[in-house]
This record gives sequence, C-alpha cells and structure tokens, in this order.
Amino acid sequence: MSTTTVLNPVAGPSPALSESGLGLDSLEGKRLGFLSNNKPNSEVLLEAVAKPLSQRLGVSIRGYNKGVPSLNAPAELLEQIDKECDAVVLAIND
Amino acid sequence: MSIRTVPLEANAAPSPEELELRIAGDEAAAIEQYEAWGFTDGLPIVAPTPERVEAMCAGATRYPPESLGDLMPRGGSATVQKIAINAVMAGCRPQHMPVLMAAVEAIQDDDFNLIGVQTTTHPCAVMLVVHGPVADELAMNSGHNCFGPGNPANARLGRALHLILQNIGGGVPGQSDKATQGSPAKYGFCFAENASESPWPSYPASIGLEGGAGYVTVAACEGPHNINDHGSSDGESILNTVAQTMATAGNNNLYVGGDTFVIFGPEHAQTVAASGYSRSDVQDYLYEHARVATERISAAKLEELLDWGGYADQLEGWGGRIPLTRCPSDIRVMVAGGAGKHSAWCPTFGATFSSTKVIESSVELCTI
Repeated sequence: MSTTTVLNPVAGPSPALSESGLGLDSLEGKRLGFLSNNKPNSEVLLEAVAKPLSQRLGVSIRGYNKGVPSLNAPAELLEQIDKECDAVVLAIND
Repeated sequence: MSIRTVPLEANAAPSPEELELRIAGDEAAAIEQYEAWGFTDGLPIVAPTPERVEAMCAGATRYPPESLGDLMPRGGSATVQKIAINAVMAGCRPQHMPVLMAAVEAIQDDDFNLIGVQTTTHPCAVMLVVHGPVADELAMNSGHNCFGPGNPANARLGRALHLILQNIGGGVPGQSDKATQGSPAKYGFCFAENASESPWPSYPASIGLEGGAGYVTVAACEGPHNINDHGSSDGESILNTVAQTMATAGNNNLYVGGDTFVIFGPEHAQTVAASGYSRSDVQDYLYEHARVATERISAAKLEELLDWGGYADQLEGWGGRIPLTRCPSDIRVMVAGGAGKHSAWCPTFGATFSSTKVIESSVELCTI
C-alpha cells in the first residue's frame, strides 16, 4: 500500500518546562498553599481540596489570591509563597 | 529523526518528537488523518510534505533547527522548521516566512501575555497587521474588505499564525484554549495598514519605529466591531460616534486596561484630520469620551471591575466614568480599508499589550 510522508506540525515542551518541581515524598504535616485566580468558583474548588487534605494529612492551610485572573501571579507573591509553603495547589475555576 | 508508518485508522496522535510520519494512502488520506488528530483548524490544509517544508524554509533567513522561543502555554519550541510546517498547511508561500517569524517573536513579549491570551475564556484572536513596503511586495490587501476574504497573503498569514499558536503553543480548542464561544477571527485575522491613505504618519512611526521596510503588529483582539457614521461631516461628530461605540459595559478593556485598537476607514480618518485632529488628539478625545458611567453597570459587576482593575481610589477623579485604558496612548489608532464611511474598533483581551516588531529580512525578501 502506498504511503504519504508528512511532517508533524506539533511541538512539545522544552525539557526545562516539563520538569516537575515538586520534591516531596509526603504531604503529611506540610505547609500547603492554596492560590486562587480570584474568580468566585476557584474558592469553592480550593476549599473542596483543602478540607480533606487538612483532615487526613494534617497539612496546614495557607490561602493566597493572585488578584487579576488574566495575569500571572506577581513575582513578589510567588516569592512569599515559596517562603511560606512546602507545596501549592492552584485553582483556575471560572 | 524518527519515522513511522501510521495506518489511517490509528487513533493516537504521534508524539511531538516524531517528526516524519508516513501515513497510509495518498495526500487526501494524510490530510484526513491530520484532521482526526486535531492538527488543523477544520478547513482543508496543504499536506506538509518534506519537499514543501524545505521550500518554505528557504524563505527564512535562519536555519530550520533554530528556535525562536518556547510558545506558551505548552512551551513548544518554535523552530523555523515547525513554523514552516504550519505555514505549508495554511497555504503560505516561502516569501511569507519572515512575516511569520516576526509575528512569532512579537507574541513572546512579556506584556503580550501569551499564556493568558491562549488560555482565556475571552474570544480574543491574534490580530496580525503588516506595515510598510513589504505589504505591497506580498500583494497584501489594506483596502476594501481588508478584514475579509479574498486576498491570499492576508488569509494565509492569519491562518498560519493561528495554526502555530495551536500546534506549537498548544492553544488547542477545548483543551488549553478555554474560550467560551471563541471567534471566527481565530481562523485568521490579518491585514495591511493603509498608510498611503492615512492622514497621519504610519502606525510604526507613531510609536517611534522608522526606517524598516516592514513591521508586524500583533494584538490579542476581538474581531472588528463596525462603527458606522454616514451622517457626520466633521471630525468631532465622527469621534463622538466612535467613542460612544467603544463605551460598552461588557468589554474586557474595562478591567485592567491594556491597549485597544481603533482602525479608521480612510474617509472617516481624512474627515477627522481635516477638522484639525492629530493622532494624539484623537487618542486624547477617545480617552476622555469613551468611558462607561458606573450607573450603567450592575453593582456586582462594578465590584468585580474595581477588584480586578484596582482603581477604586481613582473612580472619583474620573467623575464616575471608567476609561477603557489607563492612558490615551494605549488607544491605538491606525487606518485600513477602502471607500465608505465605516471604521472599526477592536477591543482586546485587556490583560495584554500589543507588540510591533521589524520584519528583519524584508530588505532581502524584496530581492527574491
């Protein structure tokens, strides 16, 4: 059967962008940040995740809000989260 | 280089690392398979065979493996070769490559906010405007129906840029592209500035760029919103119509500003200029008059605007009328179109600023 050779238009992420930064073996007893995108339902989603994690693993919960949903979180806020948390959960619910 | 033979009934899309694909059947079968994998915009494509891609790369002034950057949100590497593959699919010609390369550079400006533009629920498309002699070299349309169909370069360049955003950047409709309704402008939104009929200096000159044979401007815009005024015969009256058209409660610029585009038809522009308005006068007028009074906005919506926009303490100084941008110069003014008394307003995503870049190889391009 004949074939047609074509080139793939899709590009994958560069290796630097696809590495996971999470280096924790367990969340137990850790400081967990919850970053809202400042849309109303993000709070609902974050609370639904935070509550069982707090109950089951004893994580301490810290809430953050990035302000403008359409923009990246400010660098100062990311630095603050980096200092105050061991891991972060993001929610972008609309 | 990884090569594999793909049966037509295969379901799984190849990984991006698999560059060369042998698909069972003829070109029509390959195109059908690309559609099934979600590699197209739904319209028929030109099959990106190695020969066509190689010819396309010859229109670039950089080597095929060179990357122009990682396009968000996926972070796909925009090599010249990947740009060329998507250009072939869109029907581009090799001489279009420098325009696409400049556009790919432009969308990576930090203030353009590509990750937001690509993933938002807002229906923004990336408007691509070509300025300068290169637009004529490419036989682009800056006149009648310039936003519409019919011109090969306008249509194919706009389409190619959106395929690049989808296939390299990962703005895949329904996946990372979360647009609630989207826009027909996402099939392609490209035109040339009509500088020859503009009463004001060219758009690049207005932002301090001069001397190049060609520039591109990219902006994350809605499709053009028509502004009709056949009755007014003086500049202020036309500007009033423009301002009142822009003063809408539901546009995204009302949140955090960004820039926004007013694209005058030549007749409106010439009437406005004949009344003594320079481009900056027009920007000042529209900044002052294209405002939305708070009493036209629901309480809950106003609360959201003040929260996201962060301008509660400025509201009194604005007289309770919210401007669309944070300064007059963010209301971008240019001319395009043919005869007739229509202009257009292109609201943007808001959390974005446009970017204008020189088409680096346009001088060499003209000699091809």
